Amino acid sequence: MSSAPLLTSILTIVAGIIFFFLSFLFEWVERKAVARIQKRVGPYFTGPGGIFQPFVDFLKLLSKTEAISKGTELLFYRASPIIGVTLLTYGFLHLPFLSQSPVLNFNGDLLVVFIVFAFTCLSYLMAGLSLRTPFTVVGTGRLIVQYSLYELIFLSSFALIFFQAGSATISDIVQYQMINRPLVLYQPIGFIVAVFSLLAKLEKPPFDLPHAKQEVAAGWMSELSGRTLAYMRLIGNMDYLFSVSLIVTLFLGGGSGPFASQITVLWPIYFLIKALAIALVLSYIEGVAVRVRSILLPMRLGIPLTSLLVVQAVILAIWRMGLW
Amino acid sequence: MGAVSLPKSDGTAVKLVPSESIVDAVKEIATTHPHLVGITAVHADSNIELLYSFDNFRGELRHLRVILPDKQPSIDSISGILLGAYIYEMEVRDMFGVNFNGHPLPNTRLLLPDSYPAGAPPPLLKTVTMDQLMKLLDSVQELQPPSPAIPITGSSRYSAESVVILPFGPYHPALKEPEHFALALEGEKIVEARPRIGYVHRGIEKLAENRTFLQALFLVERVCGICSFHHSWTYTLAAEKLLGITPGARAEYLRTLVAELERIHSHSLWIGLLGYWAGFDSMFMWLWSARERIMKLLEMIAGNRVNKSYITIGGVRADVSDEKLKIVQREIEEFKKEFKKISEAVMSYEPLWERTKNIGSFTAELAISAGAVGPTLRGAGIPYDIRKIEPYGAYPDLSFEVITEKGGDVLSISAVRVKETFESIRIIEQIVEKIPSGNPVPQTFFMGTSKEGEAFARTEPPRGELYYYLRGKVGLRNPYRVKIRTPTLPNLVLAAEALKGYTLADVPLILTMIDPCFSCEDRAIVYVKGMGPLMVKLPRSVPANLSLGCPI
Amino acid sequence: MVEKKSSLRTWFEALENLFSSPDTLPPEEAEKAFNGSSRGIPVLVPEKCIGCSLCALSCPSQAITMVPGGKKTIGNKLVEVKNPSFDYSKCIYCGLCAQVCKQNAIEMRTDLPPIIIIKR
Repeated sequence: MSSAPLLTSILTIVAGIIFFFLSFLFEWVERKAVARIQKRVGPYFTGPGGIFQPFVDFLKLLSKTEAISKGTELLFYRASPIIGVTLLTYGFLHLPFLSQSPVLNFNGDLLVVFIVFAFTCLSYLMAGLSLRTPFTVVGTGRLIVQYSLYELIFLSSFALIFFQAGSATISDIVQYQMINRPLVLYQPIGFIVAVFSLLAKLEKPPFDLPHAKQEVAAGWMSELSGRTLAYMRLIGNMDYLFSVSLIVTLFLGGGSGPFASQITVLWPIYFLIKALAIALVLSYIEGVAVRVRSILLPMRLGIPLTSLLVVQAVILAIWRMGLW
Repeated sequence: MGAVSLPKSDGTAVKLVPSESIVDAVKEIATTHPHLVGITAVHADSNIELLYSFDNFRGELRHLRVILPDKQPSIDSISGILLGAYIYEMEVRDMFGVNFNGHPLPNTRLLLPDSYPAGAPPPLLKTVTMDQLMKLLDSVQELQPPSPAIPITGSSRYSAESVVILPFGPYHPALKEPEHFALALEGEKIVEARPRIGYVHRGIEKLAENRTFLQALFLVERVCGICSFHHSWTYTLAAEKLLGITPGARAEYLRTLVAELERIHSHSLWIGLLGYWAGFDSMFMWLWSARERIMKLLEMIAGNRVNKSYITIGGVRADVSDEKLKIVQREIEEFKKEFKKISEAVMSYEPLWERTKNIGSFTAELAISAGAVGPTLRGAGIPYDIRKIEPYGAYPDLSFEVITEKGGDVLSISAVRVKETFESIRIIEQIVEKIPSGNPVPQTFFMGTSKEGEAFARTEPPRGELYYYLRGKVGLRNPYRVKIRTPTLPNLVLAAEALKGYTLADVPLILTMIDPCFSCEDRAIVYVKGMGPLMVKLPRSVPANLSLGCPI
Repeated sequence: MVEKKSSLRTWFEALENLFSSPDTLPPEEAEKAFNGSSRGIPVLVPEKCIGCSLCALSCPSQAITMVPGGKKTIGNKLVEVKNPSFDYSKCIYCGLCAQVCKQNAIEMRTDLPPIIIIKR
C-alpha cells in the first residue's frame, strides 16, 4: 500500500474513471450475448459491434427532460443516485483490479462489501419510494423481499471464505489464493451459490420481479426519468461490475495467472478476462430463464441455495478438522 | 309495432317467439343446444328484431326471433340461464337501447364511453345518421374517464388498507392492446378484477352500413390484424349466401391456403407471446423468427403481410402460379422443421411448466356456460371446430383432426395450439398437392345491388368461432346490417372467472390464454360474480354487490 | 409434448444460437421501401383513362376524386373527360382501383420513392 496521499488520490481518480467506463463494457457484453441467444443482432451502430451503445444511452438519457411529479420526495429522489454511485465506487476501490494491492485497503475490509450492498439497496428503495404509486409500491415491496433473501445467502457464501482463509481483509484473501490455489477449487458449491444469488441481487432474469415489465410496468423504476434514470441505470451497471469483480477476487484469485507477477499489466488483463467469463455465464442464464412466480421466490431462491450453503459449510468443517 | 315483413332465411331453423315467453323458449332450447352463438339485433321497419342463435356443438343452428317495437323496447334477460348471455345483452342495450329486465348489471356500459350522454339515441338505430353521431361525439368532453378508486365496502373479507388497487392499462407495457383492469391485490393475490374495454371501439358495424358490399369488405378485414383474413372470409361467405354467388373450386382452395397460413402465423405469434408474458423473452424471439417465413409467404401470395385484402365476393383477387406454390411447399417444409425443434424445446421446458401448469384452471361446464369457443374450449376437452362441423371452403376435401386436451389450464391450451399448428401444416401440404385448376378471379368485381334477405356465416379463425350476420334490402348497394360476433367476447367472460385466486404474476398468462384480441371484440368485458345458473352447474361465488362507483 | 419435461433441449438451443449468426435483417436491408411482393403506389396513365369513374366508385377509403382532365377523342367524338386524382393520405394501397380499371389506366408502381405526407 502506498503511503503517499497524492499517489492514492491519483489512483483513486484513475480507478474511478476506469470503473465508470468498464461498467458500460459489461452491459454491452450482456446485451450482445442475450441478443445472440435470441437470434438478434444486439447493439450494432455505435462503435465496432455497438460497443459504445450503453455509454451513448447514458448520455442520451442525461439530455432528456426530467419529469418530476408533484408529491415526489425530493430529498430521496436526489440523494439516491448520489449514494449509490459514491458507495459503489468506494467499494470498487478496495478490489485489486489494477494490481495486487488495491487502491484503498484496511484490515478487515471485507466488511466494506456489506456496507456497499446495503447502501445500494437503500438507494434503490429511496428512488422507488420517492413517489408512491401502485407500481412503485408493489415493485419496491418485491425488491425488499428479494433483497432480504439474497443478501443473507450471498454474504454467507463469503463468510465461508472468511472461515477458510482466516482473514477478513481482501488483500489477504488474494494472497492466500496465490499461495494455495484459487478458492473456487476448494469451495465449488459456494461459488455456484454466489453466482446464482448474484442474479437475484442484480435483478436479472429469472429474478427480475422488482421491475417485471409485464406485471408492474417498471416496478420501482417506473417514475424515474432523465438524468436520475441515467444514474440509476449506471448504478445497476456498476453493481454488476462490482459484484462480478468481487467474485473474481474472492473465488478466482483476482488477476493471478501465469507471469502475472513479472509483467504488471497482465494482472488487470487476467482480471478482466475472468470477469468477462462470469458475465458471459450470467448472460447465458439470463437468456434461458423464465421469470419465477413471485410467491415461489423463497422456494426457488432461498431454500435451494441455503441448503447448498449448508452442505458446503459441512464439507468445509470436516475438511478443516481433518487437516488439523 | 310496424308491419312485420320477415326476411327470407337460408333454410336454417328460425322460430318466431313472442317477447314475453323468451325465457321459457330459451330454457327449452338450451337443453339440447347449450352453446349460445350470439344475440343479433336489427332495426328494420320501426321494429327491433332480436335473433338468438344456438348451436348443439354439432353444427345444427337454431334461432329464436323476437320482434320488439323500437320505442322503449324491453325484454327479459336470459343471463340467468346462460352465463355468457349478459355480454351480448349489454352490447344490444348500448347500441340499440333495448332494456333487459333482470340483467345483473343494469347501469353499466359495454362499448360506449361512460361519458356518452344518457339520453342520446343509441348509435345503431337507423334514425341516427353519421353526421348526428359525429356531432354528438365531438361535444363530449372526455371519451373515457379515468378509473375511479374502488372503495372496498365493509362487507368484504379484507380491510381497505391491505388492498392495493393496481390499474392495469389502458397504457401499460404489458398489454399489446388497450384495455383496463382494476386489480385489487391483497399482497400478491388477486381478490377482484374489474375490466373495462371499448377503448378501440371504432363503430365498424355502423360504418359498414354506409359502404357498398365491396367497400365494406375492406372495412371488416381491418377489425383485427391477426385474424384479418377470416373476418373478410366470413363476411364474404355471408354475402355470397345472400347474393347467391358461388365461387369456383380453385378459389376455395386458395382461400383455405391463406386461411391456414394465417392460422399458423397466429398460433406461432401466440406461443411466442406465452413466453413473453412468462418473462422468457428468448422463446418469444425464437418463435417470431420462425414465423417470419410464414409472413413472407403471405406477402408473396397476397401482397401484404397483415391486412391481406386477398378475398373478394365471388373468388379471390389474384391467382397463385405454380412456381409460387412450389415455394410455399418448400418454405412450409423448412418452417415445420424449425417449429418442431423450437416447440419441442420450449414445451418441455420445466420453468415454463411451472408458470403454466394448473394456472387459470376452469371446468368444461364453466366454459360451455360462458359460451367459450376455439382452442380455449378445446383445451377443456370439447371438440368444437367449425371447420369440421359446418365445413366451408376446401375443408370438406381435406383430412385433418380436431385437437383437444383435457387439462383446462394454460398449459393444455398451449398444447392445443401447438398441435393445431402441425395440423395446419398438414392441411397446407394437402392443398398444394390437390389444388384444382381454373381461374379463381371473378370476371367483374361485385358492384351491384343486394337482394332481400338475411344470411349467417361462421368460420373458425385461430381464436375460435366467428359469426357474421348480413341483412340486405332490395335495391341497396350497401348491406343493411352487418353484425359481427368475435370469439374473444365470450372467452373473456371465461377469463374473468378464471382469474380468481391467482397472483399478479399469473394475470398476464391467464388473460393471454384465451388469445384475446381486444381490437376484435371491442365490445366489452365485465367481470361479474354470482351469476346463479339454472341450466349448468357452476360454483357459486360471492354475491356481487360490489358495483362500487366503478365504471362497471 | 406435454407429457415429459426436459430442459436440456432449451439450454442446448440457446447455446447453439449464441454461436450462430442472427436471423434479423441488418438495417440496410430492413429499411428498403418496397420488396418484390409489395403492391406499390397507384399512379394514373392519363392517355388510357376514359373517365368512367369505376375506380372512384370502388375505392374502399374514398381516396379518389374525379377532376376535370381535358378533352379526349372517344369513339369519334371529342368529349370532356374526368381523371381520377388520388389522395395518398387516404389511400390504403389495396390495388383495387388498378384491378377494376378496364383500360389498365392505373399502374401500381414500386419504383417511386415512398410518399411522405406533411401536414401543416
